[in-house]
Amino acid sequence: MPGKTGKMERILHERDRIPLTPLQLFFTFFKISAVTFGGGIAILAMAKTELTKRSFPEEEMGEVAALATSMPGPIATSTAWLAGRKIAGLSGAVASVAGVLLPPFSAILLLSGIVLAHRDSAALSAFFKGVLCAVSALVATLVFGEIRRTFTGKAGWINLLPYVLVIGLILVARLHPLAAMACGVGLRLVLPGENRWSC
Amino acid sequence: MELLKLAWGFAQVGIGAFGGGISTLPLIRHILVDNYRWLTLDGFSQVLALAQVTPGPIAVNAATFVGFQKAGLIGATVATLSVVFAPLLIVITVAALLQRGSKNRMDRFRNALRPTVAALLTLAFLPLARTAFSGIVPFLLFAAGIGALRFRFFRENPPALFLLSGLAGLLLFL
Repeated sequence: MPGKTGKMERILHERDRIPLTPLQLFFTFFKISAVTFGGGIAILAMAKTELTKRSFPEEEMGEVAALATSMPGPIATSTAWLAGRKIAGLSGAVASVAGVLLPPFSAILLLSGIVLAHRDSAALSAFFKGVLCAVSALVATLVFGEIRRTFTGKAGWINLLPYVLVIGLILVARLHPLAAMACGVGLRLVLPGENRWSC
Repeated sequence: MELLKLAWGFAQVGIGAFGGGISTLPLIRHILVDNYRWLTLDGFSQVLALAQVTPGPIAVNAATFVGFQKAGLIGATVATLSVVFAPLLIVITVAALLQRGSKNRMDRFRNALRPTVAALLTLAFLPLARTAFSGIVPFLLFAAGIGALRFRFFRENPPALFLLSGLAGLLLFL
């Protein structure tokens, strides 16, 4: 909450922020990234817990989260950059992004050699097919939850128009997804009906 | 030349990656499979499966994988850095332009993004459904996954479910 104690808090935080060096930021984000599967939102939540525990003000974490989730790009790396930047400047930002990138980068490098060498192996395709069945299960529940959240509530039904538009443009008109997305967001912006939810 | 193509291709993936995670799949697929033909549809599914059992965002995992496949370690580095830093340039610019009061506008934008993200998620499900509904056994595995996701442990650790399901796949599909 901005307000009342804002200035005082800010001064306190300036001092509290010094303890996290770029190197510590690197290791913090490395740890978060290595143990958090399933991408962006999960990493954002972990970063929030870890950093506010180490006296990064929650208000500023909120700003980071708002930007990282509404702007393009992987949420994990945007979070790392913005939080690192606020905590320890440019070198903090670079160290945080490096920390977040290193675990997935090295994991894929290690595994891609194996996958490429065995890409026609029946065992590997059987394994991947099994994985994909479970991934579809997860995505099905995600789709279900997202649709429920998008179309319920006051004036939720109006979201149906951009939803159908985007699907139609990509699936039927074969438009580039980026163009379709722009149309969907644009249409929602001009449509009436404030449909607020917290993220 | 290959490196430039990788950099440009994955810059587009990064810049178009709104909403995070699964909702970026339609765009990633469009660029990697249809536009540049770096991956076949099967290859894309393999990358998707691999990304789900390794740490990190799908876009980053795909960049490292395709970059490595096309141009080795350098390719992997170039692709990964462009998928991350192209959108970061936008984030940095917006962060610099933002004033205290503009949080409302950003909330509004995020709200406007919502139905589009729901649409992208739905589209991401379609190719997956093709695998899940390709026969009785895959469907049972899919249904078992839905059931397992009712448990908190699997909701919080989806890779554990993916690995188990992969092992089941080894027994059932081989």
